[in-house]
Amino acid sequence: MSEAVILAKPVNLANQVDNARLEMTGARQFRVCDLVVESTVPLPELTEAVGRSSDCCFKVLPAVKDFARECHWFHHWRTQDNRVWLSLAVRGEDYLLRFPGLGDFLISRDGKEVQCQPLTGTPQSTIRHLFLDQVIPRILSRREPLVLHASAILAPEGAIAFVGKSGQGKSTLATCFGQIGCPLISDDYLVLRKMADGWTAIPSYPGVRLWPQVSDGIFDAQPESTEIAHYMEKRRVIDPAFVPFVDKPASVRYLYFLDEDGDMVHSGPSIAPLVPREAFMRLVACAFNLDIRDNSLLERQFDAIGNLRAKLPCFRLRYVRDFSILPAVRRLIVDHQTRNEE
Amino acid sequence: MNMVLKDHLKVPDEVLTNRVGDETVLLNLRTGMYHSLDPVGTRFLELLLNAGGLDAVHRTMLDEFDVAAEKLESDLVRLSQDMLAKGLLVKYGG
Repeated sequence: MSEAVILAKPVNLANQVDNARLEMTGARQFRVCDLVVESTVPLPELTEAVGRSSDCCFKVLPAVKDFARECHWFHHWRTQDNRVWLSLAVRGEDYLLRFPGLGDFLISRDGKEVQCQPLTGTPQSTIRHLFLDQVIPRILSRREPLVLHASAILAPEGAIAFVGKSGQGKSTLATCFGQIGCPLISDDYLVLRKMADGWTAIPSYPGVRLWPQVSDGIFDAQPESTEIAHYMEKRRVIDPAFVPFVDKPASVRYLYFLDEDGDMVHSGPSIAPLVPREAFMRLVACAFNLDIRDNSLLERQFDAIGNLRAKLPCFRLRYVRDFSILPAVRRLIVDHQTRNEE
Repeated sequence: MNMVLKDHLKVPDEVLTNRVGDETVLLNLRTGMYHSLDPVGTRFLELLLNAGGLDAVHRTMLDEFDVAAEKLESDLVRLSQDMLAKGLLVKYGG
């Protein structure tokens, strides 16, 4: 939040499209989280949307050797080892998201146009991953009440969400529930919409992203998987026989916040209620936000989090990250819900 | 920043508050920072929003809590100064 903001010269998005001489024929429409995306490149991860007007146009420009020019960044997201993995800038009226070494994504202020300018050598799969799993949730953060870093599944009582940061086991747990017939609603990011009867989880798109060792640990037979991105070991598992998916919104019943296992090697999995303040702060930490300087967005998000926290029970879930105890963790959660529903 | 009990304080427009259980979360839109108040701090803020003046808050809390008047005064002044420094409160004319 401390970076100075210096606006670059405005750039006309339409002119850029013309200059790039994009091939505009053959654009197809796809659906992700209720968002209809018209794309000039195939998005095989998504189902096609038929008969709906598009909410967002996605174009991939020809690759370039270097990024076009220096920008005036307003925020940098860093990895745990302090490497910048995503930088955000404002360029004219638009947002620029730069993934170092991979490519730029220029997003129009209203989120209706997205252009990717990849660096030479960035594969299509990586471009699609960045668009689907990094850009889309940030666009949705401006359109929807709340987008959380979470995976969700549909249990008999309703949707339950596993909330946490990267690497905390959200996808693993969601996949584990798929094995007892609870379909996936969303992996890694979850759109939450406030309805008259409470908060609703909006399905994103089929498939989970799993480390190969997780896949080995969970499944008896190995499902087919596809590359997510060239720099990532994780693979995408889509086969509904292994990861069932539900494409209808569902009312959310519980939020489980995944804790690090820390030093709990000798203790069993546990669930405990979160005190309201901690639940609120954890929701803040796990909310996607395209522009952390946008006060109207922050205000809307603040209200949404307050409402969500008041309406939905929030729990802390702790367990050792060991495949052998995943069935016990799953049983604990199922029993916990059963007790709460009685 | 000198604070005395006769000062009047309020939450500025750019600060959002949300009561969560018996605690309060505050977001300062100017800094983008989130803060929280424990139950006693929450009671302080609640009374301040109603009364405005620190002296009125002091009188009420003296009735509600088992604390010496001087100790309560120094605690309230310290909390007020801290919140003023973080932009969570501003002084007004009273």
